[in-house]
Amino acid sequence: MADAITSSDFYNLTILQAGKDIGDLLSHPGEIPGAIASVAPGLGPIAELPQAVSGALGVIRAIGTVGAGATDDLSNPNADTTVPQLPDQNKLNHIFGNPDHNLDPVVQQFGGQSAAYNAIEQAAINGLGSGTGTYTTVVEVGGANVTVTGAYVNGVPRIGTAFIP
Amino acid sequence: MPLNELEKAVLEALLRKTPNELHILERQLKEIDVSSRRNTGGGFYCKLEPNKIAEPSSAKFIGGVFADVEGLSHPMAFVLFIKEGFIDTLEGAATDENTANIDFSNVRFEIIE
Repeated sequence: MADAITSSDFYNLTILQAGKDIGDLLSHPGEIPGAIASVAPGLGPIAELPQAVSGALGVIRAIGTVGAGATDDLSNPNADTTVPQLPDQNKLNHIFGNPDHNLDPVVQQFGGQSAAYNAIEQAAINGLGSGTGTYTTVVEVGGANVTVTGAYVNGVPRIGTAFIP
Repeated sequence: MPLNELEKAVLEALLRKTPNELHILERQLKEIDVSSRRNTGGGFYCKLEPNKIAEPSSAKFIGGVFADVEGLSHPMAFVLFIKEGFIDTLEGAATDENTANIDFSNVRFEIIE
């Protein structure tokens, strides 16, 4: 039995702790026995993962569902793009490419920048809940205290930048 | 290079967040120069050359300042990094938006504190 994401629901997957970057895995679905994976432009990854693989990846949490039957129209303009997705490469480079942010231990622990980013964002969501406006907070991610600042987008705290002082 | 208008306004707002360090950091900001600017697409980094004759600060960073910036739908977050007691880098970070086409030296903005 697979942990399936059906054609009628889109989920955004966040790895809280992983041995390998999910972005890497989803870009090479052949490396995942029994997995079907693809990336829909603007909508993030669509994946069907065997349960054993899900377990190996760590804790994968479904953040939300959007757009019934959305697979029929991948460019669905009504899709809620504010639900966490695989982060933009510019954002990853901005945050993790600055050595003064001291985030290398977090990246190493989570197996990649995307996984580390998602773990930080999930920690912010867990710590702050929903809201409006802007925020600055400190979250514990993999044993490290990470300062995160950003803005709420459609009620969800999204990352502007993150660093370990 | 001199500070641009956005950098000036953000630095003034950031310094108001640290009343205990205000006078030290104000002295460091006198005659400050920008040694480099980099638009990363996720925001920007502005490397600063402060007046190092001034007393060092005990702060490591100052945050908590945001701005609505023309061309972005969500506020940018700003952090001033202080290295070994001296102002080092001003970071501006966008939330979920690409900044590659924004000229931060010629952009309209409004500080949110």
